[in-house]
Amino acid sequence: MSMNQYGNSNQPQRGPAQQPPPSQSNPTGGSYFVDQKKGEINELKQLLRAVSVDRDPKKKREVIKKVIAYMTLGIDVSRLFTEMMLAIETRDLVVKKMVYLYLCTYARQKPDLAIMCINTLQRDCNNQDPMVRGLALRSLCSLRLPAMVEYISDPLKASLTDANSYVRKTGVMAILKMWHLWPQAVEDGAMVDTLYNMLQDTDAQVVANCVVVLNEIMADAGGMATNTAIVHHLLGRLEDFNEWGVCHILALVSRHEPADEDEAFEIMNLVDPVLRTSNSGAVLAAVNCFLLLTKNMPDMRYQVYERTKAPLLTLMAGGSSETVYCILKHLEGMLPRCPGVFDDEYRQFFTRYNEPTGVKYAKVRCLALLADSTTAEAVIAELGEYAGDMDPLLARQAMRAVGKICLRLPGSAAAAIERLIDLMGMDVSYVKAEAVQVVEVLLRKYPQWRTEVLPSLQRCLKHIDEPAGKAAVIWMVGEYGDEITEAPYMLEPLVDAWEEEPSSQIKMHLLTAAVKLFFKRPPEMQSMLGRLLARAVNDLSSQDLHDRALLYHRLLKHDPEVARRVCCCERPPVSGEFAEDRDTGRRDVVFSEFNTLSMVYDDHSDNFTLPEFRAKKVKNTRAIPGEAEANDLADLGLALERSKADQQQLYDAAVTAPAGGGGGTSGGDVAPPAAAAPEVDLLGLMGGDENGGGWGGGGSQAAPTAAGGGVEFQTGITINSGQFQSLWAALGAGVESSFEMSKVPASTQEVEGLLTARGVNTMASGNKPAAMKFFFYAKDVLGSTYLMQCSVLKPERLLELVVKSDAPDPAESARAISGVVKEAFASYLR
Amino acid sequence: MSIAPVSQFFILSPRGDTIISKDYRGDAVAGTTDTFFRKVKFWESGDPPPCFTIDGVNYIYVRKNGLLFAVSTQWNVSPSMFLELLNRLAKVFKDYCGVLSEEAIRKNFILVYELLDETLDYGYPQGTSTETLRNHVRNEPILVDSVKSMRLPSALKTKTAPSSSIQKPVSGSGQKNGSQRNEIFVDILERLSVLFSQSGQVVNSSIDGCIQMKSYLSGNPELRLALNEDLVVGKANAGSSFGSVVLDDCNFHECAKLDEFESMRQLSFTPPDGEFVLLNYRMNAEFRCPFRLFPSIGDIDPYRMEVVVIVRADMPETAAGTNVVVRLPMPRNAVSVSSEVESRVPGQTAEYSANEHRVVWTIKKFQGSSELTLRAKVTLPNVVNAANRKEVGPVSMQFEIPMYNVSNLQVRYLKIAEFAKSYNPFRWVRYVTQSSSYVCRV
Repeated sequence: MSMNQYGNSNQPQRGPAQQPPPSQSNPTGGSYFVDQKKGEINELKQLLRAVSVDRDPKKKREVIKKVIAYMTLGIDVSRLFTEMMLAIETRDLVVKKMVYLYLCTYARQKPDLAIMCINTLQRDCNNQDPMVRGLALRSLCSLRLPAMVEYISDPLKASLTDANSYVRKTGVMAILKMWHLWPQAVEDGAMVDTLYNMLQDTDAQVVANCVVVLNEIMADAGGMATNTAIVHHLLGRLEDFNEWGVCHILALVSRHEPADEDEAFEIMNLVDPVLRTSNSGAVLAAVNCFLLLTKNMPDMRYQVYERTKAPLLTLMAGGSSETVYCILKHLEGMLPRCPGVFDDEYRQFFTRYNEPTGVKYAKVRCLALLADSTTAEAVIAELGEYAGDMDPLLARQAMRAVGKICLRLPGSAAAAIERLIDLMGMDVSYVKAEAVQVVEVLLRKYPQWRTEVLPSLQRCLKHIDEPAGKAAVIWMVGEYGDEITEAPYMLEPLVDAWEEEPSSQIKMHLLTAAVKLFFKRPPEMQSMLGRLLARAVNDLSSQDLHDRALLYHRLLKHDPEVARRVCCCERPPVSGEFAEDRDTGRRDVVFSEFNTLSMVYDDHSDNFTLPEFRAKKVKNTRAIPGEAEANDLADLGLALERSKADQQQLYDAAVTAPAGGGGGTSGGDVAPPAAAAPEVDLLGLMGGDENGGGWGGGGSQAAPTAAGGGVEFQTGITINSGQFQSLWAALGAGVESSFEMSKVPASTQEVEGLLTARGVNTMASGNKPAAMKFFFYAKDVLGSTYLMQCSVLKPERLLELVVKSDAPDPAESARAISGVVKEAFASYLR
Repeated sequence: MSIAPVSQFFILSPRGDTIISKDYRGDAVAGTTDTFFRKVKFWESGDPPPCFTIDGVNYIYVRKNGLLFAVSTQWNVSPSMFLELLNRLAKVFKDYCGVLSEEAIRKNFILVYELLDETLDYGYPQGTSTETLRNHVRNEPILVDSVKSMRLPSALKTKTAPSSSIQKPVSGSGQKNGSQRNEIFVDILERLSVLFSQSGQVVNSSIDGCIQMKSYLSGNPELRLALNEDLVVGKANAGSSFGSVVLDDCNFHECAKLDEFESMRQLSFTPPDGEFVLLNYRMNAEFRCPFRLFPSIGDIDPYRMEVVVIVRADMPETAAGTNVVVRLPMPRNAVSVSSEVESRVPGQTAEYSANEHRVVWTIKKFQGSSELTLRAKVTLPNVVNAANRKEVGPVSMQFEIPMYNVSNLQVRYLKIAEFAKSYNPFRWVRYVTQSSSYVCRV
């Protein structure tokens, strides 16, 4: 709500307040009007204090509503703060909500007064009515006052185990609000762990909120960390979520890397029903999942495009113009990747007369991509119709699309060029101009069609006003002048009108064309070229022009034959596409952000978002859930143990007190959804051999290695995370060492690659601004296992190593393996 | 990063006044509504797209009944999701306020803020279904005069509404057990996109259909809706099933259970409160176009030409098109245009709008199996040439045909599932066919 609206005397009279607009009765306008409002605020103050109002709930509602009305119009009613705070003590929920709304708006202006209402809010957090509890908690956190943190903590903790799901979901969002106010409070309360545990809540909205909150809190680490168990748990309950929840879950799933093809197929089967829903956001999220799951399976990818075809077209046919626009923008990115799939549905991309221009343009661009050898003619005919449209931009885009189709499909050249020649004859200047530009490009690839085009050039030149169009004609006259009888006389008027020509683009083309034509028609051109060069050399409007004219002049003077070879050299015919169309790198980058604004803007997000709002690029699969909490694996182990214990407790509570006996955290409300997700071990780190492989980091592909330091490692071994943890804990203190580094590795993958080559496998790794952390393991040929924790402290340039081993002589073998690691890091060390 | 929040939601009037504005995260950049409105209003070329970015702030918006519903965010969000959300919010406001108009929203602004508080939290969408919201919304709607405020009907809003009850808000718990009638409205709506060539041949034709419902059934019983038994979904599956209804594809509302859809073409669902679309479908097969257009151009003398448009209603006599409008663009340099319609059929007018360079022909009621003709004489400043002729057309047509559908998709029955309460609700089943883009080239 901005204050500047206040100055505008017309503003408040359109307001929701049901009273005659004051400014009408006060023709004096601005300043007087302000005073009158002040008077009204005083009046409201009186009313709020009046006993008669206090007794009449209906009246009270009206008065408070008026206050809110002013507030939403941007009128400063903060002077009523005290009176409004008194109104907070009420049983009337409508009034209460309005007061809360007021409070959230002005609390930051009046933090001292806002503290006064803390008591009421805290009390409301314990109200009998779950709605009031949720409302109070939400308002409490929405005050955005750091001073409130201490008052928030307790109600917040209580809300997370509330029996009512509305309160729990509000509580989960409150964690995020708290995190923005004071991140430490969230970390101290180990709330990330709590949130991970709450993924098992019976209420889908609570789970969905956990996902978005975790994702935002862990944004710096690339978003919420997941593993197979979490992903499958969430997908198993996909039907329970509302459509927004589905969007969020699918966005999360799309970041998950399946361990193998079977898992990918399994996930796709679970996601498939979403394609039948009518929410375009959910459908695109599902498509994104499909695309990412099959990114290493080219055959499957084609099938994915086939599968998504019908749903996307249905959304395009029936949606509002805004959603259609979005879908089309995504299709525009998809079409070049799946040639042939959508081709037979090209009619769906014909424009409708009443669509917004953006939709029409996108459809035209899609048509250019869709046409194939059988449909090209029909598509070109349709595009030809658009060229006569009232909207010049649509007409131009249609003609460019014709050009694109023709360049891609040589078989369509006849139809395309015939159509374009037709358009060159149309009585509209911009149509002509665009048509000749397209034809110019086409002739570079299909020069054999020039005989059809050249006769209409003379007429065109006279009627085209646009520099680009005129330049295109001039280029053609210069290039094929020997086949146009009147070519020199087409250029002559332009040469003589040199001084009046404002466009240097035209002048430049004219100069080149005249020189080229000179070599083809010397007798007719000689004197004209002389005049032209004299004028161009003396033309001060453009340095380029001057320089080029001088170059031609000197070339001709030096040796006309050399000049001829320079100006009229043989060029190899254009085969294939033009280089500028081959810019797939940029397109790939944009496509990697499928189902985001990037696709709509056709631009990478780095170009339109501020750094703090960018997704961090951290390889998600390697981050460990709960890593934000755990500083090393030992701590992590503890954290996970604890969470497992909590789950067990939850489970027990649910089993023993199924009727909501209030035990444990939230009573029977939180029974594990056994049918949907039988795994109670959500974090998947505790067992499950099939998950371990996914974490193994490619150790199995390593070649047998005889590493330095006399240790020889086995290849192809895997240890799952559970084994790693228990072994790490069992082995006791390790051997520590540290090395100074000259530089820091660019990525964790780099380091992992180096160690993999030496037979050392990666358990997990993470990259944070201050440090990289790795957990490695290896087994030597004698069967001893080595576990390593390796930290790269970036600011200190220090490599810290902790090695544990079950070898007979741990100290000796630790030294040996330290040597291996040191060798791997050799290029980074001092 | 498509899990990301919005910072602001706002509703602007057609003049750019802020009617509603909510800052969800306290990180909104100052003056965003003004920046947004200026950009939309003065978009450089053509219509503004539904999403754009200015100085790191992304705006996503939809236009409903002239009002602008928008969100702003600095994250790279999923535009489709938030467009759907905006559409959904507009629907929720309509469900609660009865109609969606500036007046209704201004009068019910407290209610709207209450709804906004529940539908989004800290910029993330929460529940948006009308019935779950009901538990949390305490304000009663203030009704506004629906006739006045329905100046700009939405595409799905039709003039053939059976009663004004379609515009009554889903009220709070108060009215639930009172005098409310147990009724359910079912609309089978089909929007036709047809493109005729000059010779009257169909170049392209498709149907976007939907089954739209609005339920006022007490106790929210589970319902069953059955469609044609011979319904085929997907062209590939059509095979030899001649005569059956073949849909290219369809999608469903989240409440629909599809267990018996494949076998019995039956959907079971618990209808949510308020208006919702149970099923969207798409059909590209040839169908009988309800109107056929035959335009022709002839010369009267060197400076004048005559454009004749014959429209034939190719449907049974029992059906009739209403609110028919035919638009015929004329050459931009036309000096004068005089148009003429047959006087024997009343309720027609044809007027030339010089600003828009077109003749607008309106027909109140267009009976099936009849034929109407428009003659327009165009005077030009020059001798009539081919380019002038090219500028005539394409003819576009707008209409609505009540109780008629072209796809033959039918609701076989709509009943309350056996185990639910047994009572007989009023069922209003309507078929409506509308034009979406009905164009004939000249």
